[in-house]
Amino acid sequence: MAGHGQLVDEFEVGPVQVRVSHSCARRDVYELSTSPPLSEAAMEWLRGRGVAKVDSPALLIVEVAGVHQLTVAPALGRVVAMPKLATERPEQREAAMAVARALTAS
Amino acid sequence: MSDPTFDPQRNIMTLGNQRLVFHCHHYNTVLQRSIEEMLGEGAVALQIDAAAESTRRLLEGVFEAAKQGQSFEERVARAAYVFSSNGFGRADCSELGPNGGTITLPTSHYAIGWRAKFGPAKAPVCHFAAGFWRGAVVAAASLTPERVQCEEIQCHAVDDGPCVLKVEVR
Amino acid sequence: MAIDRDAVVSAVSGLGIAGDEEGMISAFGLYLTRHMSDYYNRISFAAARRMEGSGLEDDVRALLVEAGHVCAFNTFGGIMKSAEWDAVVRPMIETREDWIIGMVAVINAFGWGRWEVQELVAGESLKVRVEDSYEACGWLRDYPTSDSPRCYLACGGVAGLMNLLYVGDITTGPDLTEEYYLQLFRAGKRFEAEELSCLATGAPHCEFVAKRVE
Repeated sequence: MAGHGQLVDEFEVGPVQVRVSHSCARRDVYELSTSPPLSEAAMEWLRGRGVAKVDSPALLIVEVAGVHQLTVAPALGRVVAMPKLATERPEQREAAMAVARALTAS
Repeated sequence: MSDPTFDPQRNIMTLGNQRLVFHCHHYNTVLQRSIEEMLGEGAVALQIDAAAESTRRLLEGVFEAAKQGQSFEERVARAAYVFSSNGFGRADCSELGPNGGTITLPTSHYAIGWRAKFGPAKAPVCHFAAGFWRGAVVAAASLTPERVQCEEIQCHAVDDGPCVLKVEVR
Repeated sequence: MAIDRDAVVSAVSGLGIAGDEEGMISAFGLYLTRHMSDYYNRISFAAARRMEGSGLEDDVRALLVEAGHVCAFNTFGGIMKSAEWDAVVRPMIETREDWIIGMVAVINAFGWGRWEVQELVAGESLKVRVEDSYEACGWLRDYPTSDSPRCYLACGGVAGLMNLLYVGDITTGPDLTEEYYLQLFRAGKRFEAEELSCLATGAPHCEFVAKRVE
């Protein structure tokens, strides 16, 4: 059994590096990194996913109800997707991949 | 609804005149396991009693500060908000009344944290949650503490389903 | 730019760290709780008091401090690897020592009482003063003045800061595995902390020093 924080997968989606870590029995955490800084188009796309809990030039935290929480450090090109516990792992992965594809496209 | 206040100069956070502090599941579960290793059988009762007393004090302060919503059901709803907003999990209290009942936790911090840290448990681990809801019923129904007992009869840390707490009022 | 404590406290306390619709607090890659300090104090102090006179007092203290080491390793370590850290604290970091100064600033938004670094000698020692420690305040409220220090969590935390930076290297973003924990906290040259003075014993505040094990 993987422990909390243990790396379970690592791959690339275009220029986006994806690290998947075990969080608990119900979810994995997705860390997405790309060349900094994130573009304004990428930031707009991320903001549009849900409700912004924090929205400053340095940090964006978006609650995507029923899907995941996105924590974004734009200056470092970093996005962390923490899935909601009610979702299953395949959905969690697909939701994170959608973010990775959007970062790739912008 | 019932959120804490924070003094940034002193780094003191309070709710219902009680101090709150941030800690993560690593500390919570390791402290719990250490207490259980030290004290053996008495450790479960100690944790439930400590949680019940801490919660009763906190919620009595919260209920007193609230101008409205003093029925049992409204107080339980407020307790569920405090439970949830402080990260202990989500509590479905639809089967709970002033004479007891059950509470289902579709998510429970201690059970999820325990499994993440140590793997499946052999026995229920949500002693804090059991004590919280014992204290919550005491405060919500204005009962003498020894009249209320709460036991976890099903735990996500053991068998992957939701956690279920049974509350008895004697 | 040096670490601006007030800016960090303001930013962290403004993160809206609270339970989501699932009743979980997911921040810094961790499962957090905003917990009653009374609960921690009651279970820790009751355990310590029950073992008084058993000859196992030092073992109990070691276990409670060990929980603090685990907290430091995972919580502080997790925070220093997080996107929130990258956004809020990292832009202010100029020196290696700023990693500790920055982490102490973050602690000052956790409700633990006011932490201040009194002295940090790179790779050698760390002295921290804590006002209104939740452990010592809890002790004083519920028990007579203590004949020994009572801030177990803080003691483990202060040692953990040094182990993360000078035994391991948190600046490189290591995986926080059980093996890495043992590497840092069981190493021959690890840091351990001592509580030099404690509010619970009647001192005006709590002070800790972390030094390498001889």
